[in-house]
Amino acid sequence: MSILSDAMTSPQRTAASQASADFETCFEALWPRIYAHLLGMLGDPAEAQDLALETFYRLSVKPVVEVGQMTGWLYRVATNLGLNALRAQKRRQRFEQTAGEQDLLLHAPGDAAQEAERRLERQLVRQVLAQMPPRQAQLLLLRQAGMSYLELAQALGLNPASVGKLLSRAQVEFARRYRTLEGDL
Amino acid sequence: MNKHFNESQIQAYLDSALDAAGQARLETHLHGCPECQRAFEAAHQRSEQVQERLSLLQTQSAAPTLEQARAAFSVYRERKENTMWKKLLSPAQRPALVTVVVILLLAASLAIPSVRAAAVDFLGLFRVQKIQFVQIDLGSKMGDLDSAFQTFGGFLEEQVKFAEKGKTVESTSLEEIRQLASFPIRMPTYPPGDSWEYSFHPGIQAEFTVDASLLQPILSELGDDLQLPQALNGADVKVDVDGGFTARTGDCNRYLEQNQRPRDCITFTQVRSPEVTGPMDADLQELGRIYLRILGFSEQEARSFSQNVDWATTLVVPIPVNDALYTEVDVDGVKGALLRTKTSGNIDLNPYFTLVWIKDGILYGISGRSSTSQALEMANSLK
Repeated sequence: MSILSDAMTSPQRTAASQASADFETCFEALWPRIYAHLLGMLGDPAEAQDLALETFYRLSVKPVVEVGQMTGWLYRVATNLGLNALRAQKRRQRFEQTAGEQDLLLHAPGDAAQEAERRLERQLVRQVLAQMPPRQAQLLLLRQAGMSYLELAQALGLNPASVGKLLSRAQVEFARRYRTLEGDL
Repeated sequence: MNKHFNESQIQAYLDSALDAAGQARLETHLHGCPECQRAFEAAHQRSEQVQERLSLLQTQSAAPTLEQARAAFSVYRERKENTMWKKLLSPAQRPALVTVVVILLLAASLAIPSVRAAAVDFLGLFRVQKIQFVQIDLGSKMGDLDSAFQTFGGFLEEQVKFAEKGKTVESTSLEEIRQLASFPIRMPTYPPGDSWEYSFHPGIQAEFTVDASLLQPILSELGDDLQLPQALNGADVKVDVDGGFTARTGDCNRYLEQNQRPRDCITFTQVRSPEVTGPMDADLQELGRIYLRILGFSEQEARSFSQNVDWATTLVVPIPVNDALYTEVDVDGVKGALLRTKTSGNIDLNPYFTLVWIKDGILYGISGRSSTSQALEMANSLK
């Protein structure tokens, strides 16, 4: 939010066009994954797209992200946006189905009753993610997205040696909350 | 000798993140230790269950094609950059409204953690009398700070309603503009003989409701010591920024057209310090401490800094240390702040500067490209 940060950028042609080429490459490579990640979190394609666009927008205005950290950065920002959205949602509705949910199931589509049950389960998962401590939810989601311990440590600023313990605690927390919510049904 | 394994190692094993030697040690140990076997089994089961539940979220829905995504991104970016915040922060507008931007930063920073509701019984007026710039090093604080700022920025855009009180009026007649302003307009008399263009912007009102359920998770991410005071939740905050006067001299048109920084354009801005309403007994020091923590100060630093600031009358504006040089200067009979961009090392030796000070409840700003001494002389020549 510095009023002078933009005033700093010197008009070096090559640097600017290089930066936009990098961004384009990044967009091409990672848009599908980031979108899919957010769609999984939110269940609503329109909202997922909106947040994916926001994620890439933030990348586009960020002065420097080292190439090696770009993926981790994008996932982390996307996950945060998704969690914020889930928390905002949770204020409005509990088990209501998200409007416009059109996703095909990873598993073979069963009959209507089974699908309804799956939907309910997904809503429960989302609720737990929304309610649990954000750092822990973030860790679980990023791990689920396929990040290694080292990548997690880098993306979240953690000591690599503590990733295991933090994941374990996050899982315990998730399981506990899920059981509680399930019990409320 | 058998060593029992802790949860960290068990989890790492389950995630295939344990080195070969560690794996072998664990497996060997498990053979002979029923207690650890039980712990392991429990962890294994739990880990599987959680992962299975999370994988329920995975979908194979048809994603937008790359072309669609690119197109959507262009539209999105354009929309973002045409929001009011961005308009005010865009290079073309910056010289004209640089001090108003500082004030909006003040309004925003005061609105988020630092101001309490206009409660029924206790109303007090905070009027900024002093600006204090504090240098922060964004580089050393990775990820969380930056992400939190982004989230706050997004939060501001979505949650803060603000409205312009009217349209900008432009004129070459100072008298005409003087009549529009509700405070006395002073003008530099140095350099003599300069021709100025004037404009007046009626001002901005911002309204905002504190929603703890949205804000607290953001704060929690930054630190466990950051708790939004309960009394803030649901509070309505109003900020009123009175009209802004701007005068420009030099080759400013070329600047505006080419959307680049000006070569010889100097902008002088004058606006009344904004009003924020809040209860007199607000725990400003605590809120100030939270604000500093958000900026990236450590717990210790934030605490000691916060104790030395009179938050009711001082606006603390963060300046990333890599972007600008900050010096305190004597100007117009008060202490002011001089910010200069770090020289980029090309032929042009006059860096872009901004000089800001507050006197008698009026916020002044001069910015442009010039030598520091010229800027100060201009500032000291106000009548």
